[in-house]
Amino acid sequence: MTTFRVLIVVALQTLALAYMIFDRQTMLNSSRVVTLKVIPVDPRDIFRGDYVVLSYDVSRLDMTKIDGEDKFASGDTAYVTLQNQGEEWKAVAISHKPMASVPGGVAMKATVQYADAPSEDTTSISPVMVTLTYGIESYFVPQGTGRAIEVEAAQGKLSADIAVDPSGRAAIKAMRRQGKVFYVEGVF
Amino acid sequence: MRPPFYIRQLKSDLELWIQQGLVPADSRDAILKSVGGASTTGRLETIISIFGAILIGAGALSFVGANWAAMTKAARLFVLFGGMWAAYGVAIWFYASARGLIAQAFILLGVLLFGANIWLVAQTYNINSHYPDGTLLWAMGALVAALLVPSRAALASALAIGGYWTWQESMDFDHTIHLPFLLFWAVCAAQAAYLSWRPGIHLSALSLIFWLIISYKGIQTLLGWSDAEVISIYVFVPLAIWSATQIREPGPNAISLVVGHYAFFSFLSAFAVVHLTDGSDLGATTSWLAFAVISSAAALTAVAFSLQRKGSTGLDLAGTAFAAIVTITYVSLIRSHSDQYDIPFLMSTLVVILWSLFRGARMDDRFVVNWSIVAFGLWVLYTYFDLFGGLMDQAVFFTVGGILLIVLALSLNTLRRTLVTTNAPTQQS
Repeated sequence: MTTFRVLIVVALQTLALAYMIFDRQTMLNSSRVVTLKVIPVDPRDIFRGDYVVLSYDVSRLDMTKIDGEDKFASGDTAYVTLQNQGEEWKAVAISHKPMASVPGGVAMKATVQYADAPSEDTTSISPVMVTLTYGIESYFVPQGTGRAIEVEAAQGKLSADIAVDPSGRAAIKAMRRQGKVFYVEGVF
Repeated sequence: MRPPFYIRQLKSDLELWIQQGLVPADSRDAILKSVGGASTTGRLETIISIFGAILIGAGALSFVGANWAAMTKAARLFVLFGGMWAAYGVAIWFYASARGLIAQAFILLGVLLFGANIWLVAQTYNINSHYPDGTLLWAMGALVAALLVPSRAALASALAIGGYWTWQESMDFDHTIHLPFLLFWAVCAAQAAYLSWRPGIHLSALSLIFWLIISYKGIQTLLGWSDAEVISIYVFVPLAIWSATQIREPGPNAISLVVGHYAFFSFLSAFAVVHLTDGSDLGATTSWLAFAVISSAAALTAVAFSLQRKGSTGLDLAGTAFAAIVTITYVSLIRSHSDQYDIPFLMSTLVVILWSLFRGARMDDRFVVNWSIVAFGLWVLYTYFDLFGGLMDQAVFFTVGGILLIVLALSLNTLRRTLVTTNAPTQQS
């Protein structure tokens, strides 16, 4: 009886881990991919080892310069619509629900970290900033190698291919150095 | 289950009774088992195995942290998944060999490797979601093992990991109050009670106290109460719990004893700390007043029940009422940075400490007696260093207080002698 119970525990724990991998792979298989420039720093996590924090152009937006809504609170879910403009993907709109009206747009789901309150004065030209996270801010690296990546990113050499699934969730699909892929995410 | 001191005494008495022929030697183990004091053979073996499991688990977590590039993803997954399955496999083998205690160590190792695997998968696939969810998943895995196997080691790890989870949610994400932890905690505590596992009850009590401490600001935000009103929650609720644990069973019960000790400790600490906090300039809120009255009534009802079952005395009823009334009055009267009620509250604190001391002495409860003595020492120090501006006031206060205490002690001694003398002829007749 105890054997059977332990086997149930093993099965449940293995299923939980397998689901984590399956869910990630489902996202990576999405055909919607955007490439974003990154700006990292190099922290360390007690359980997960060294990783590089990736920050993107779309991590901090001036809401007066893009379409959509401008009232957000910390913790809100937001959808940032990205559009390919030449060689770069740029944020063109932000809203609480995905916007379907932007041609060629890809809506990426984000969590609002901080947001300025919009000005009551309609003639104001002050920026109204919002800081967002997309779940693509960590890139894990072997111990002690984060610094080199940080230097490359500071020189503007680093970019990331981001897979976006139909619900807007994002995952790092590949990392590029001066446009050339040096890391591709896969199951094995 | 009986407390350790009872089992130690029973073991000693049993040896004597067996020698005197009062109890058959064959009955020894059955008697001890009936009170939760079965043979402790193999305990050292188990403790060392658990230490080994913890070290291997720490090694696995460090391995994940190193993110060793020399191994392919497949190899890394194979090592840690395989390690987890192997740990549970060895546990099954030990269970089948009737070595359940060692099997517990491998269940614990399995739980630790499950956690390592969560972080490994997150690292390998650059998963960067709300990271406390990873800790929650780990805690849930431990809880599942604790419930299904059932495993004490897994339960201990579930409580520890759950505590880390609520810490992350409360501190890293500034949650006003992390209520989901209470549900997780309740399942853990219920399992500890079901397993009649005393260390599990200790851990459950400690993790709840930990949550209450880190939730202080959250509770305040949620209720909109002043500092003094929020701290009074930690007076009233433990007072009611301590009173409830005095509703005695026929014999000493280890679980209610442990719960009672933590409740007493929390009550006395919070009662003293109330003095250090500020009230609101607008006075007490209606919702707080309702809470204070209801929880005081609950405490008094419990003492009244306990009185009926000979677990408490009239002095306990008076002491409980006194502590509740003083707290309600003090919190209702104080305002921000107000110190006009310092001396009456300090005097009341001394009365509560003395009542605790009496109650502990009557119940022969060393924990309550010792902490009451510590509380008295702290009270003297606080009063000496902080309360009075002038040394003359201080001298009068301490001298009068000391004389009163000595008179009280002598009166009690005289009373005890009178009672013994009065009862002696009755017992002889």
